[in-house]
Formats: sequence, structure tokens, C-alpha cells
Amino acid sequence: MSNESRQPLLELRGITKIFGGVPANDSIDLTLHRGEVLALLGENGAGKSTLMNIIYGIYRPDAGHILVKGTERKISSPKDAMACGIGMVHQHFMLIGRFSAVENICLISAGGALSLLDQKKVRDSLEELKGRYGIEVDLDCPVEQLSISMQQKIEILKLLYTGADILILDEPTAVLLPQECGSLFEIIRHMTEQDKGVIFISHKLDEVMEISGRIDVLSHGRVTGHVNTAEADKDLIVRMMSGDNVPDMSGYIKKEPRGEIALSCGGLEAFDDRRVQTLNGVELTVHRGEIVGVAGVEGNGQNELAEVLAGVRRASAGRIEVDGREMDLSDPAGFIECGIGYIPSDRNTVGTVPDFPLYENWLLRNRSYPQKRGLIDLHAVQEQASQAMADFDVRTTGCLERSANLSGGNLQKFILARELKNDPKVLICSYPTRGLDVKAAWFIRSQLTKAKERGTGVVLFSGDLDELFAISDRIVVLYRGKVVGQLRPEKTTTQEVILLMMGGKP
Amino acid sequence: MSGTTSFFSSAFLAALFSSGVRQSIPLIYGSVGDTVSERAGVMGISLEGEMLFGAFFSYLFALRTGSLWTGVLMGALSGMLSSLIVAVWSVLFRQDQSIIGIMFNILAMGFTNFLNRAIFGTSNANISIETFQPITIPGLSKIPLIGEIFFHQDILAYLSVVLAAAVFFMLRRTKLGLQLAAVGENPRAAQASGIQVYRLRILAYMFCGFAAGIAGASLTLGSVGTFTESISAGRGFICLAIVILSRWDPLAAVAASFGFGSIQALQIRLQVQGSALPYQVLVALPYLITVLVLVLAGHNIRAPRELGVPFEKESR
Repeated sequence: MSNESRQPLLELRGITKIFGGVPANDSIDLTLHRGEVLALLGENGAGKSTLMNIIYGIYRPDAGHILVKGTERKISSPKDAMACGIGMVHQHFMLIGRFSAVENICLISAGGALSLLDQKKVRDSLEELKGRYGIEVDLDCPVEQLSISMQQKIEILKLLYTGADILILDEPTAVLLPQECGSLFEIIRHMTEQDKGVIFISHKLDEVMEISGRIDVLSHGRVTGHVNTAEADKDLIVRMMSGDNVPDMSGYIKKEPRGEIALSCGGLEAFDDRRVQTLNGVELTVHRGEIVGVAGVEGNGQNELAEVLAGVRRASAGRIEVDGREMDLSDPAGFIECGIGYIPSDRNTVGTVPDFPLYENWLLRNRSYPQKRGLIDLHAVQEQASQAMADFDVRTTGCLERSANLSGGNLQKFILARELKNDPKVLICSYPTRGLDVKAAWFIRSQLTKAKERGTGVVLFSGDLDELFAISDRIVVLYRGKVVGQLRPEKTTTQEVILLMMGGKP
Repeated sequence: MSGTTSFFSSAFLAALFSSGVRQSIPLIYGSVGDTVSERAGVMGISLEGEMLFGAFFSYLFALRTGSLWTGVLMGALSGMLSSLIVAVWSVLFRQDQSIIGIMFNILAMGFTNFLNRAIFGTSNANISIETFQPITIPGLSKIPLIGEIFFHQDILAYLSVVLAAAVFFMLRRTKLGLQLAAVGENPRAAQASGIQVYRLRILAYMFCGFAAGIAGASLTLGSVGTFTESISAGRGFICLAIVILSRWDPLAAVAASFGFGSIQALQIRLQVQGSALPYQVLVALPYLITVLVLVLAGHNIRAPRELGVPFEKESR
């Protein structure tokens, strides 16, 4: 083994990055060797993406050193990173949607700005790489027309094209269907066989156990643990990730819901944004103090049902009653006044306005904000928001922070705090834990059960069956815009629910 | 051109469209420049103002040095340097491009008027200068009608088409063209592939200012021979419409410019011939048609995705 190949490929020493006074990375050390997969595990907001963006030159560290193959390098742009042999597949793909794969890769091909494009040459080397790593993908179609997993393969091809030997994959499986992960792992194995080093970022334990050789755990911007995967103990890793124990909901005892009906609807029909009718007569009743889980394969009307129940999408037919009073379906504000809370599936742009500071977001969907002489009492609003943020463990610099700067988990906690402030009669939750790490997800779930115990009727839309079984009092299954089954979680099985979701009869 | 000539005689048509070509020259320069900067995601709202700067300084220098080419060069440079103000504010300081552009246009109008009065006094009798003379292309100019319309024009007209063709080639076939489009479509991805987004956007915008400066020079040195206040008369905004109509394609922009130029030429002729319509309606005609065409043909298009959106290097 030559001297060069015994050197670690990449070494980070004391990397620190501060965003608005809060350290996103706090003196992080990390080492990557040739031919290995290093998994970087951590909950959302632990600082994984920040760290990778520093390695890739998108952010500049406030302190620390980066050593590539034993020599210290200053990486101040992605160009520098590529010159060091560092390549990255971002969580949000860095592809130009209108360009084909070949054009996207031409962008990073050699040659000055005024040089002529040689698409044929690029395409030939891509064909060669496709063969060598077993990647099947269309090179000529605009990438925006390809599936997410195809786009990811193009991103990987891009790295291989540059000849990068340090490959960073930022939560590559978060966007994939389970059956697509296998082919990704196959490609990763091909890469390590060719002596490349891979940093695999994830917060899914099972994948990390399958693909990685070593695991570094990140929490609150610090490295809180190193383990070899072969000797790893799942419980230990989870504890390293979260800093303390994850709440255990398995022993959660469900109380009988109170009798009164909080919300009922019948004959609901609605169209989606493409003007396709996706609700075909939904009947649903929600009692006070009850969590109704809504299961269904994506695209069977869940989004439209959530929006119609929250009043933000107008049903084309049917009726909704809250506390026995029929709602005016054309009046979204009436839904808020009636005490309907709503957690939309898109927390970043529907649940909040990204450019507003948090206290202004606090005022959205809020009909009883503090007033002084008929005007908003900003001081009291900020106090109220800060107090709620403290209660719900929203970690940020304070209520003046723009909501765009919050990580997913913190933002969701903030929205939940806002919606639960006035103890709503009904809370519509659309995929509230999607994309959140384990700990934040359990926090959200435990708050939902607390709200229920205070008498709120919760409608929980979720793609996570474990979640539905753990906290729902009743599970309804939506199929092709209709409720096709109502089950008690303690009296059914996941198999039965899945069968209903697929349109089968139990 | 006699006022009594029949509308469809070939002499009338040749004169009409030949004038249409002359009217289209500033539109071609402006829209080709704006095509480049809009591809990179920066709107050329301030085109109008840069054209005014170009018109004034090209006239000033041509008059003082006696050289038309010095005038064109200084016009182009003044357009480019003034565009730098807008570029820095909108790209580096990430301010709203429309607001910066409109403020700049007002500044340009006031400033060129001020300089004009300070240097040449308030009388309307600005000294006229010799303008660019038509060059007859041997052979081609002999083609009936076509020759008269297209091959008996001044050098700025020929150069405008050369510029459009060069930009077309640059956008389609060079890496720079791909980079410009990448920066306008998805600057974050462009940055990740090693492109310096700010630099490219500023350069693209300076090119737009350069072209707008030549557009201004073509007004004073190509046809009028003098500078009059607000000489650009909204052509910068017509250029913006042309860019949309031509789907950010410089060669299509040449054709669209010719269309708008011809409407302008027709409008002038109708005024001369005397028509039942009040002349104000005729003067407004090109602008009305701009609005109408945008309403009718301006849908179903796909602008560069990040057009007009400031890009922040380090945002989470």
C-alpha cells in the first residue's frame, strides 16, 4: 500500500459553524478512509447537512480545518471541493430540470466558458460509467420528467463523471421507495469496491446498519458517538442520537372517547388541483377526545379530505357539522372560528410563511390575538409565542427568527403549539411527522395524545401505519375517495389495514 | 414618399418595411441584450434608462469628436457602466429588480435631460450630426422589394443581426450558454456545479446594458441625428415584451422586433397620410399592440424559472 492510500481520504478537525448565534456545528472531528462507507447519523437539525455543505464549500466554517488526503485544503466553493475530489448528492437534487442528464453533466465538464459543447464526448463517457456501475437511466430526457430515483442516479453519475473519490450522499433514501433502495446500495457497493470513500447521511437506523462500515452520531451540532457497525447496538445508537431516551408509547393506555360528536361529515365530494374528483362521498364522524387515524395509499383523497375538513378547500358537495352546527363550506375563516385546528402537510409554505418572523407566523390562523386599543399588541404576541415555544421545546434564537431558518422538527412543534393554543374542538393533522426524526416525531405524537385527553377530536392522516396503530382510537381507511373500512387498532392487524388500503375486502 | 401613393404599391411597401427595419434596430439590440440577462435570471427593467444613457452619450461624443464610431463605443460603454449600478443592487444586494429598474429609469430620464440642458441649453435646436449612411450590399440589394428593404440599411442594422446570430450560437452551442441558462433556471444547482452565480449574473446584465447602449446610439446616430429628451420613448419596455414573445430566443427576437418596427413605421405613415383616427391613437398604436400581443400570445410560456428572483449564496 502506498503512502498516499494509507492516508485518510478526508479529515475534519474542529469544524464550527454558527447560524444566527446558534452553533449548527460545534468543533466536529471526522475521518473517512478509502473503500469504506461512513454513516453520519443524527436527528433533523443535528447539523449533518450543515457539515456536508461545509465540506462541499457551500458554507464557510467559522473555525476548523479540512484535510484532504493528508494536506490541508481551503474549500470556499463547490468548485474547490470538486478539485479536491469531493462530490455530493444533495437532499434536494442539484439538477437543472429543463436540461437533460447530458446537459446537466456538460455543465461540470472540463473546458472554459467559451468552449464549444461536446455533448457526444460527455454522453460516451456516461455510457461507459453506466455500464461500469450498473446504472440504468435515460440520458436525453429533461430530468424534470424523470422519477426521483432516476434523478438521483443522474446525480450519482455526475459525481462519478468528475472522478470524485469522496462521495457524500445526503439522506439519499429519504426520497426513495423501499424497493428502490436496493439498487442504490448496489451502486454504493460498486463504488467502495473501487476504493472510493462514501459518507452516507441518514436518520434511518436499519439502512445504516445494512450499508455502512462505521457510524458517527451527531447530536445538537456535536459528534456524540463513534461505533463500528459490526459492533453497533441499536438502542445505544438511538440514545446517542437523541441525547436521552425516546418516549416509549408502547404502554400508552387509550381511554374511551367521550360521547359527544365533535365533527361529522357526509357525502363529501371534492376535486384536486388537477380538477380530478378525488373525494367521492366521504362519511366520517369524530368524537371529542378521540384520535381518528386515516390510512390510505397516497393519492386516494387524503390531501383533499384534510383540506376540506380544515375549510381551506371547498367541497363540491356534502355537508360538515361541527358541534352539531352545519358549516358554511365557502367560509374558511368560519372553520377557524368554530375551533378547527389544522396542521397542513406542507409545513414550510402552507403552515407558515417562510419569510415571516415566528411571532408573525404565530398570528396566522389566530382569531383571538392580544390586542390593545384595537391594534395588535405586538409585545404580548411575542411573549405569548415565546412562552408557547418554550413549552413545546422549539429550539431557535427566539420569536424574531424567520421561520425559514427552523429545522423541520422545530417548525412542526411551533405549528402544533400554535394550533393547540386554544384547545381546538377538532384538530386536522396531515402527515404531521413526515420527514421528522424519531424524537421530534414522538414529541408530536405525545402532544397529540395530550390534546385528545383534553377533549380535542383529532383526525390524523398518516402514511406510517405504526404511528396510526400506536395512537389512534379508530382507524378509517380511505380508498378512491371513499371510506372503505373502520377498524379498532387493538382488534385488527396491519395486514388487514394494508389489504383495505389496496382496495381488497377483509 | 408621396402621401397619395396607394397602400399596396411596391414602392409604398418597400419604403414602409425599409423604415420598419430602421425602427427595429434599437429593438433588436435591446431584446438580444435582455435575452442574455433574462436567461441568467435578471430582468432588464432598466433597459429603457440604459438606452437613454447610450443615446445621450453617443450623441455627445460623436458631436465632440466628429467620429460616429467613438459615439457608438461611448454609448455602449455608458449603457454598460450604468447597468452595473442596477446589477450590483439587484444581484449582490438582492433588491427587488422591478423597483431598482424603475428607479433607475427615472434617474436616467432626469439625468440625461439635465445634462442635455446643461450642455446644449434649453433651446430645441440641438445641433444635428451626420448619421450613419446606408450601405448597399452588392448583388443582394438587387432583389426586388427584399433588396430594397433589407440590403440598403446602415451598418448598425447589419451588426444587430450579426449580434443576434452570435448570441444565438453562444446560447445553443457553448458552455457559457448552458451556464447562463443554469443560473437562470436553478442558481443553487448552478452554484453546486461550480458556477460563480453572482459573477455570471452581473456579467450577463452588463452585456444587456452594453447592447442597450448601442440601441440608444442607433437612435441618435442611426436615424435622428440628435438627442431629444426621452428619445427612447418606451422602446426598452417593448424590448421586454419582445423577449417574452420570442421565448428568449435571439433570432425570434429579430423577427419580433421587425414586426414591432413595422407597426411603428406604419403608424408614422398613417399620421402623415392623414387618417380619420386622432393622431394620439396612432402614436399609441405600437404600445397598444404590445399589450394586445402579450395578452393573446403571452400565455403558455415558460420563463427561466428563477427570473427576477434574487439568489442568496448561503441560505438555509
